[in-house]
Amino acid sequence: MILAILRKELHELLADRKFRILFAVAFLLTVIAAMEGWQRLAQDASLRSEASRIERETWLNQGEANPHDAAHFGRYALREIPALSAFDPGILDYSGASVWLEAHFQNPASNRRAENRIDSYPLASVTPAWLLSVIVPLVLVILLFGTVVAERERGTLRFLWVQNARPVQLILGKFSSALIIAALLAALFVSLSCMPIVFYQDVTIDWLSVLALAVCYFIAYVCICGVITLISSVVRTSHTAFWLAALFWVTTVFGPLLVAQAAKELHPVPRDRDFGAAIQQEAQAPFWLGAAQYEEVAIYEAEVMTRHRALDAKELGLNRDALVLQAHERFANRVYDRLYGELYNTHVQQESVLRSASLFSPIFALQRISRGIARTDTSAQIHFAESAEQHRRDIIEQLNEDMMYNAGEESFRYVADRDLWQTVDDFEYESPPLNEVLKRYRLELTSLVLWTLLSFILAAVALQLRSRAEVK
Amino acid sequence: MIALQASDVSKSFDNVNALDNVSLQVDNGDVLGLLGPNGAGKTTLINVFLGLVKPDTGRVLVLGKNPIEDPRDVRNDISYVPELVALYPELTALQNLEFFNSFNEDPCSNDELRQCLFDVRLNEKFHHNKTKTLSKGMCQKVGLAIALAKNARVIFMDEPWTGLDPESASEFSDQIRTTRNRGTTILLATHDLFHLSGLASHIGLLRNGRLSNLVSSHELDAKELEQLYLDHMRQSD
Repeated sequence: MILAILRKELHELLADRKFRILFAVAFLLTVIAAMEGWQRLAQDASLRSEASRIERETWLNQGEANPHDAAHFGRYALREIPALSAFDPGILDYSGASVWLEAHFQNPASNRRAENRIDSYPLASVTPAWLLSVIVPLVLVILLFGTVVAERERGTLRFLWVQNARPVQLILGKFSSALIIAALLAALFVSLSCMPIVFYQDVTIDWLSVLALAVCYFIAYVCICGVITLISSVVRTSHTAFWLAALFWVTTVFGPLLVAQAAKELHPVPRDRDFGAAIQQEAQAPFWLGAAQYEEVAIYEAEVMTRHRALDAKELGLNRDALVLQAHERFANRVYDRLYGELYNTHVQQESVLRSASLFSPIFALQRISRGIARTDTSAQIHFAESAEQHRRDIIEQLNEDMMYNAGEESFRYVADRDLWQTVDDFEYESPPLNEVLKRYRLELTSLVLWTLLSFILAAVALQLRSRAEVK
Repeated sequence: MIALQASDVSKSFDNVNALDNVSLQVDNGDVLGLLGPNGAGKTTLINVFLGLVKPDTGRVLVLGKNPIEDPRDVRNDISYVPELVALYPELTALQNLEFFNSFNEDPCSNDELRQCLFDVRLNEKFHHNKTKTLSKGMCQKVGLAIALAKNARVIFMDEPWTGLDPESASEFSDQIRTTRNRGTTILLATHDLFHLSGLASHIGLLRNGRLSNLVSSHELDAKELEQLYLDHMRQSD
């Protein structure tokens, strides 16, 4: 019986001209967006690869220099372009793609893609993720708003009751068809969007992530079908059903924009100037101009001696300037941990506000999960910045220690060459693994599943009540 | 055995009496024709039997069961052919039949379903046409096929001849006759005396929700029946 309803629903849908037209338009737009995504990925990956090569050559070819000067010369940590950014660029355009790694300073990520954007034609900002999370739900609204109410208006619902159909069977049939429609749409559109990436050799695609994306879009589509079915079961006319379903779409698409604004108001991030001033005031001045230096150097010196089981620093022949420089790194790192920690915590608090919005908007929940899986969300950006900072600390320590152990009395006159530069590792970045991402977005996933179950259960209850209430 | 029974059934909508103390009884295998002008209460009475309208007073029984208290049990044994048969326009005649057949307790096989369409004399070339392309008469035939496929013991028909051309109406009457001859109890609501005479075993005249006459068609010839109906209509005016 449920199978018969399922077959009927699919048959009606496929026969619907509206469906064929909307499907063709969505398909075409997805192809365009996928090509556009591929193009941006190719462009970004090629730029990154070129930048990486030049950065390494510049570092290696800096010539002879004092290691601490080399630390000031610095290196760049370039963010790996996530393959799935072609599908969902998330915040990638508006967050820095590289971090300058230098002595004494933890720098924020810079070189935002948006700053150098020349592709300003309208479709350039149409991404597959946007189409799949905003336009496909709209297509579902247009196709399914009458799923129950049109049956009532047509008289088939009354005919079905007399045929002894049960409301719950009807809803289960519609649920099953939603499962199939959602599975087909998610599988087709996600694979279509990701297909061009496969042909791009310079990035590695994580198929598990692609599968996870498809599953998330599938759940979200079932959920949207459920909400539309619920609306269609509750109202009396198709007209009302359409406007209510459209209102649901508008609210879930645009409502989160207000929440994002509220998140910024509730948890404002410090201005760049203020943040820079705080760093200068707390990480530099107290050490170089205040008393902190003596205590910090003494602690570090003691640690080095313990490490080498030495009783006197002179016994080790340590260069004192380098010792002070590294002591400052240690002092400043603690300040950076606190200041950047507070900054990241503000982002986390903003994320919490956004996360709560996703409880009320399945589309927003989907968008958050989508960019999470694509590794183009705020968390991925923070993860990159933290990895870059760790790398900075490692290489600065390596250079300072080289000077500390080898400079002797030459101090800043001591120079190292390419042999040392070659031992400094390039920045290798690994995105957070999928299980971590999914764990981070478990609330959004739970929200989608709950929306789905609740909407279909409520639709069945509404239809049951309506079928009784219709007995006048 | 009594197939349909109504005892002192009254129903009003917004203080307008749709049914006023209606009592009737239809034996198994009989055909009751309910005659009356528009608004006489024919459809309301059918809806009461279908369990879609709850009477204010009185009660009805279908095959001994109350359709309001026990709608699922009752609906297993009944079928309904409304004035406008509600079908899925994008499905073919056969697909509509297959779909509605799937809700039956003992669904027919595909061959039996095709036979049902033949039985109602729907030309085979229309079996695979979408119902949105079929005429009202053809849709009525599909509706009747749905009722037949259910193998229901009681069939309710509401204005089955309305909007049919003479040929289709005549064919439809033949089909009802065949169904009647199988022993199915039929309740027909219509204002078409011409087609009803010769089909119904009993005829009830409804006026303003009241059942004024319930006569056996054997007791009256066609002319007397016509006179009775005309008198009844005049009283209605």
